[in-house]
Amino acid sequence: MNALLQQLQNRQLIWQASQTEAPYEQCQSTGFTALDKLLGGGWPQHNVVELQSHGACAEVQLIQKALEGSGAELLQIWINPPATLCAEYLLQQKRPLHQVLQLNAPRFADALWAAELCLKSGSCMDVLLWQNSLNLTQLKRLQLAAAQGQSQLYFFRPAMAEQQLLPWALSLQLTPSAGGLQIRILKRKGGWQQQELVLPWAELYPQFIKPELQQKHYSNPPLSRAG
Amino acid sequence: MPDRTEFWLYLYFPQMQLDKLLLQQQSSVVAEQHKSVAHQKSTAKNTLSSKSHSTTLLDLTAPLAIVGADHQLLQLNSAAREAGLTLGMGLASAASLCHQLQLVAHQAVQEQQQLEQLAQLLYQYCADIALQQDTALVLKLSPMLALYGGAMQFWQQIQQVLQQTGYQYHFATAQYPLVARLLALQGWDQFLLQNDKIQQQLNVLPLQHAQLPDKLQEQLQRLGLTQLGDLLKIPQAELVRRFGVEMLQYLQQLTGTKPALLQFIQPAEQFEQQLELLYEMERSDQLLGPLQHLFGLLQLYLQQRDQLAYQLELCLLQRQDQQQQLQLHSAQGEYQTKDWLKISELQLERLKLNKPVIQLKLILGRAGPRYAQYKTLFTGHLGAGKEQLYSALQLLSLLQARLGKDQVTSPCLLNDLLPERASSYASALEPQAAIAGTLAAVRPAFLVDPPLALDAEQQQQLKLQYGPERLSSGWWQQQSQHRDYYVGQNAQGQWLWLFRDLQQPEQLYLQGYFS
Repeated sequence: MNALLQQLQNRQLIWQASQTEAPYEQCQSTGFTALDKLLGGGWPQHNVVELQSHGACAEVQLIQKALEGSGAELLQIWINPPATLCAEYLLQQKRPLHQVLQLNAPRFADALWAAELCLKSGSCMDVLLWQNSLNLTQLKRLQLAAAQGQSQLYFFRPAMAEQQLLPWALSLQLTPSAGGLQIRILKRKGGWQQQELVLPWAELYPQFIKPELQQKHYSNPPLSRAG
Repeated sequence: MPDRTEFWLYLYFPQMQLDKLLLQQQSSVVAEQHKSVAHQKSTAKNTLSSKSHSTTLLDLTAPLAIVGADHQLLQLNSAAREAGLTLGMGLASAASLCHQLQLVAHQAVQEQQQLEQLAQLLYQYCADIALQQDTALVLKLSPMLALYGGAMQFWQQIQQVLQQTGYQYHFATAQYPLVARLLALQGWDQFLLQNDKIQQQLNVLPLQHAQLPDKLQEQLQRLGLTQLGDLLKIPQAELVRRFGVEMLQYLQQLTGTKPALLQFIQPAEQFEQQLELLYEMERSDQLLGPLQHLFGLLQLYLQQRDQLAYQLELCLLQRQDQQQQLQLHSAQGEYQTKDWLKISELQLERLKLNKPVIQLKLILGRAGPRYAQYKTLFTGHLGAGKEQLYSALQLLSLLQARLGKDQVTSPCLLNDLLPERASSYASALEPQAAIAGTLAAVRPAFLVDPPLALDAEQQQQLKLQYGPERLSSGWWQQQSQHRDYYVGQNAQGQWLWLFRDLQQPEQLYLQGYFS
């Protein structure tokens, strides 16, 4: 093969249709076998991942195993989370509370500035950002910052009908369904779009969904005191 | 015997106020250049206009004079001297010689402050320093010479400090403060420890420069005495009989028979610096140039004490005695100018100036001893050859500076059973006391505070998946609560954490979201 081509390929600048399994330079396992397989290894590392959902449908649970895997020495930053953080939940995930920072930035620009600063600082591993919109320049800046600080940004935003094409390393749409969480790939670097997977709820919430109890559903709690 | 003699160094600063103006001008020009390099977006036109704005008020290259209260010229820049002006000239004659002369009122208080600051700087090198009336310092050399192993080493050290400050100065050494003063005011500028040479110089000193009271000087001139040496030849007793007690005191100080009364300075315990701005500043980003100067002084202060500053107070003084105050925090503690500049830049960006600023004041709020800042020797999570840009504490300071201190928090767990009371927020990055006990298995990521009552329709659509888990708060508490907790999914498929109060079992409340 041409020496130049070989060199380019060594630096992973050429994408070949045959290597769809590992499109990212580094991957971190999601902790769910089926999802790992769908994504070709796991979450792209040191990059920005978009998760679109209506909220309260296991979107944090999905990345939780990756968060656990990144160790407790570095900070975890939550920027503009939709509600108060539950301390007991964080402790369940073996996360020391003083290593978690919550930032409230009412202004759009402040939130992005804070995310970029945290990403490139080198003292944070994971940054979780809730925001409604992002443009191309802002995404590029965040991606560069993540690469510089070797950190990871999870970008949560509401599911939208109208799709803006942004060069995400990975963008997923999460929709709850009866059997489990439906995960659709909206955009994936070097991979095929429009692939889908349904992750059973029991895998996402093993602490309270036992497969053998799945049959019993009630809409009202049984009253402990009759009357 | 000659070993026991004292030696004094007299440092005279003839134009402190003017030097300060020149220095400020230089630093602001440097800052402007710095800024225009940093922000290449700002067009050259912009920087030009701002520069011309800064120089409209005072052009230090054109003739400029500092005028005292009695309308005499006290300090002149080189352009003014070239125009033929001399010190001590009256305003009227000065104006007739040079009509475009710029005048600045003499500010004795400010000069005195500058002198005190300088004395504080020199205190690192010399233990006995006293302030003098004519913007001068007198330093007692003799105890210091043993420490420095020679006079020249000591003098080099002092010269270095003086050069850094950038003030013009005259100096002289002598056995007695008054002699050193007379020679320094003359501009002798010799650092000598040989008595005979000093005496020689003193003897040829013209009498009109001998700082004698006017009346005495006139009388002596009428007697035909022109040099100080002539005066010293006459026996002391006779001079005193003729000229009175004033002459006695003068001679005693000149010959050292009576020790000079000097009050030596004590080092400042508190860092507090003021900076008069050259022109009124309306935009907060303009303040960074002058601030850099103040932070430079702070860095010097902290370095000398081997300390770190954690908190600073910055007062922006405005006309009509109004002021705006800023608190600058650093969680890690910083001493370097660049780190404090970065923090203050973020705060100033958010700040809206009510009025143009005329003066800056920086006060050190909290400082602590400096310790080694640990960094991992081997590569951390960053690859080889890459260094952390900011440590966690530095990051915290920057975030707090821009977002505000209360917008950056860490979650904390309180010892309470009810979820809305158990989860709270504490100040960021501070280790918290561990709470004994096992963790509950089922907790959502997000809490709704206060709990939301669901209406009948919403309750109908719910599908409960797990529960109940009963939580009862203590009977000793104000409102004892007994709740059954469930996990449910609503019509949109969202996972909710719900509870039912046993007091009113029909009503479901939303406590949190599983996410």
